[in-house]
Amino acid sequence: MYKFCTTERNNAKANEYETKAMLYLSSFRKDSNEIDAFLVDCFNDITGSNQEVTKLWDVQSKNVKSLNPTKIGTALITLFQNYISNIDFTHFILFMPKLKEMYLQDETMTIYTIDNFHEKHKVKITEGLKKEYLRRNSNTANQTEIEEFLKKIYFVVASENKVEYIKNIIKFKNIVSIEDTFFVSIFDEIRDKQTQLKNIDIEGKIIEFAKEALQFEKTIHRNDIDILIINRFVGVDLFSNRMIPNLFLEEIKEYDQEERKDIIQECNAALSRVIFNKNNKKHFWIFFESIISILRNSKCEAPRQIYQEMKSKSVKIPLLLDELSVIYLISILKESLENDN
Amino acid sequence: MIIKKAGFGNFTEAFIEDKLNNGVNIIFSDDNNKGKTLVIQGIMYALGNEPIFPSGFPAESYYFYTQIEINGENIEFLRHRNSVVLNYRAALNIFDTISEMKYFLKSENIIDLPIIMKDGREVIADLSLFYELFFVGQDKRNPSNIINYGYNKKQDFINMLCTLNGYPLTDIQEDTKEIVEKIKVIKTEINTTKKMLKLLKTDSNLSIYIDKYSDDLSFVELRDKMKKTHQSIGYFKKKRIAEINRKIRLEILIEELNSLNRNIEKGKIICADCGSDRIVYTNRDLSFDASSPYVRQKVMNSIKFQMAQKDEIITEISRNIHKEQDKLKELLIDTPEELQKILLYSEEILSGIEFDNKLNSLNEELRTLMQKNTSINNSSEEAKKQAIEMKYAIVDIMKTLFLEVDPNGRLTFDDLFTKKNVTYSGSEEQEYYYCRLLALNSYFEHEFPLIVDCFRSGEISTQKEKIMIDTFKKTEKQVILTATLKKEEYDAKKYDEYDNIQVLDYSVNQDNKILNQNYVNEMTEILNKFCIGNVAITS
Repeated sequence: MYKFCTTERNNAKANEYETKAMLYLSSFRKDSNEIDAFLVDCFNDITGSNQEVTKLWDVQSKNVKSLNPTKIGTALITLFQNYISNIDFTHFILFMPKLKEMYLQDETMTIYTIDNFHEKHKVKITEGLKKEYLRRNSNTANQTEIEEFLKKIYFVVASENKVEYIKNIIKFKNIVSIEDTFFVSIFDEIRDKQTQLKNIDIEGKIIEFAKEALQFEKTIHRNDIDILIINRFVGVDLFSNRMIPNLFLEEIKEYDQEERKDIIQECNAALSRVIFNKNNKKHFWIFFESIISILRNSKCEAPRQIYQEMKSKSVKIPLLLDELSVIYLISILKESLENDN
Repeated sequence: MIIKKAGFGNFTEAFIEDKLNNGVNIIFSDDNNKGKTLVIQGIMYALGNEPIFPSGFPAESYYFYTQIEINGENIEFLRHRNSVVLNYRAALNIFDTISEMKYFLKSENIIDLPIIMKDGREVIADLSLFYELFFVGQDKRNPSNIINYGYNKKQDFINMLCTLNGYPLTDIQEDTKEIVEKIKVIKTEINTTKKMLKLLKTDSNLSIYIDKYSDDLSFVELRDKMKKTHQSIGYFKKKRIAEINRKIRLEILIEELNSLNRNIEKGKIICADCGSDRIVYTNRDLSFDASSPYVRQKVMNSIKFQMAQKDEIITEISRNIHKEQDKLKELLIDTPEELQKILLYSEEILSGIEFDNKLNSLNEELRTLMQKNTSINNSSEEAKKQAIEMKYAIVDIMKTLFLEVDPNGRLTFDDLFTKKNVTYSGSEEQEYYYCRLLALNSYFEHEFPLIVDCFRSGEISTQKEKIMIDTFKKTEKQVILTATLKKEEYDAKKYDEYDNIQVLDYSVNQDNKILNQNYVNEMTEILNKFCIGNVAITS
């Protein structure tokens, strides 16, 4: 049995750190590929899970400028409560800024265990955690459990730079030419989505198994973020003066130069109409996701073949797009994502 | 057309009038509020007219039924709100809008509704406009305009009369514009051809001359250069048009995108937790937008950038065109214009194009176009002339009719409608409508009945009334009139003195309660015939 109780109701807005923590799980870990979804503000600030929800990456994010060992101990309380709960968590992570003072043996490390702390500070951390446990539960924590728990914690130092977190997710060609504000805008969008999910109240709700937490719909899928970024890439590139994708040139080689210009302009126009349309976004994402999934799994090379494959799989194409503009989109995606995987 | 039976109501109350005959009918009562106007408006409403029911009458709760005989066939209309069911040739035709019914009546040739020009387009006249030809309601009368003034206007009524008269007024500007353009082009071509012909004729050795020198290297070089320059001018011009079109499309796209970028979806307030007064905003569609403000801004900027770029390209192309034109001038600086043409056309001259024939066919084409143009203009002139003649003819009939009714009357008509500032007093308005209705009837000899609700409004004297009723009788068609009588008139049974008139006394109807139980059975039968069941009552 697991009962949700929220301790911080004061801050409804997801802070930057919680978003960074999620994006860290999403692409900075060796096992990032195993993570399928992120539960926002359920078990903890962020909890990553695999598809079957049998493996959980539990993250507490702590954005406090001057963290000292005692405060670190206090900050570990939710992770610890989860550790001793009936639900199995696989990883325990405290996501925090770089520590200021000389608490650490090796300050250059960005991911470390409790062993990187000097001995006297370890004690402070333990004390801080114990004290907070007592304050919340009115009884003393089990010493062995605390010791075992502390061994399992990973301390992850957050980067100050929002841009890196987005850039790391998908490998694009031409990435260099894109300005930072673009990445910042995507970061902020994801943060705002997190805020929306945080506002779904589950105080006092009880579950037996971790999987049941999905019912609260406080989840962002890793793929959603991927797709979002790809979409924004396609968006900012519309009508830019970049080269026509070679694959698409192949498709329209029968036309003369002037006709080609018209076709490209019409394709760009059609795509911009689709992404500007605010009222059919559900369909749009299903369509966009299908395109990318087919693209990633298809053996076909030519955009037209991929288009045929989409048709045969009955992918619903937005009304605003005609055949050529879908093929154009496929060509762009195929060329931009060439190194992706 | 004859109105045979009419009624309105529902499964709880109803009224049916089936005593109308083919001659003059007068529905009268000793007081107001006996339902005369409801019956008359109801008849017309069922036929698809814009209703002007007395205020407070809940027309939307009732069905309106009218049975007519037209072209020797019986047709039944049943209307509820804006839906009409037509029982025609033993089939039910259902229309959700009056326009649908209008097209049906026209296409089935039930009523030959005239086609009129409205806002530059040919449209079928609306039923409510058409019905003013033979129907005058009691309320909203206004001699300076049509009664159902709104979408349709006075001019539409006049246009309709012109069409009925066989000379529809048309808007010729659009038609002639294209022709005038074509004429211009052909005239220029004729000029060029004439010049060529003149050249060829003045120097009969010209072709020999060209033939001889066409092999001359410098001649060939000059000719090719010139051709090339002409070609590249053509190429640049084509390119410029393409770019201009692209730019226009981008301009339109920006507007389109701005309008797409509006969120129609709304969230709703719900109780977060039953029993609790906490309310949270929820919108379960948690997917991301298809684009972000950043992306949209970027796309808009890119489009604007492209447009600026197109501007530059267009300027550049224009410069290129000028350059090529200068080249051409330089090339031919010492060559007379005729010779330039010869150079250009030398291949054609040698290839033996018959300029005589070309000129002939061009002239022929020009003639046809001119004829077409004049005939359009003529027919439009003719239509205007006919419209004026028609107006005078109708107005003359109106004047005659008026003098019959009121030999000493001051009223004078000079148009079908009065000028805006003219107001008729007392009986004058009534006399005007009477004259117009009958004048239209006698001019067009139409097949529809004459219907006037409250034909004595404005205190028409008994003597005038007698003349009017006699005139109505003389039309030998169905006429339906209503009147409210004063007590002494009613007591004197004034309409009994007329022969061959169907008088229907509505005085027995209770005040404001023409609808009653007595007709419910019959109404139910009618509704059942139209497959309308009694659901509302049983439930």
